[in-house]
Amino acid sequence: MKLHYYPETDSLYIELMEKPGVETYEIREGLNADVDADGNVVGFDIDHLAALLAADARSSAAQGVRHLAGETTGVSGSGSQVIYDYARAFDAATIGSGIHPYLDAFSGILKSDVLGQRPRAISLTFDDPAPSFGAMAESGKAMRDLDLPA
Amino acid sequence: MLTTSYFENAVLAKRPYLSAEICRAVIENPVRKELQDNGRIRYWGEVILPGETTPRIIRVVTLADGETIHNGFSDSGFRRRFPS
Repeated sequence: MKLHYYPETDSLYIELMEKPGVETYEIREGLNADVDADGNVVGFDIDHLAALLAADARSSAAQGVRHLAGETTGVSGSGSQVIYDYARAFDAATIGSGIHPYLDAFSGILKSDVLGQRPRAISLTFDDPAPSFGAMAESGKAMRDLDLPA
Repeated sequence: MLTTSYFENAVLAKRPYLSAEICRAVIENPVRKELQDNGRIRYWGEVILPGETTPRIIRVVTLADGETIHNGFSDSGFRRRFPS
């Protein structure tokens, strides 16, 4: 999994799979999921990462999930469930600090001197496979924190 | 044509069906346009992509100047949000 951050516009792309996307679903404003031809999520497109990290994560997470739950009624196929799972996991990852190492890493970068050097892009590669997001989605903590619909 | 590094390196790499020219066409002939809270501008346009016969709705986001292309994608939810 690769993360590419562009400080100039505060944009982050989380590449889950090195495959092109054919369609994009807006999970909430500033958070989009790219899916491939089979409906698999291949990446997340995040605008204004700093704002996302600084926001009231708990409320924004619940809002995002509720929004997505409504959106899925208009989406056919297994892709919608996949997106739901990933979005749920992603929102779980934004709750608090120390929960998710990837976003923690970027949060650290945003607070460090790295940005003072005005890099055009920062890219990190993690050996962990993307499905760690899925594991997060299934955790009881994520379910409890997000006040998910039954 | 002005573009951001994010568009050139992340967006085009992940969405090979897009090009700066397609995005420019959307900006010049949008079916809808909105100002985002952060000052950036989003445009939607109907486009028939190369090799396809059915039009798609492409969303393009520019920086606040309305010129610099920052993001773009095939917006699957547009017709549900804005039924005609």
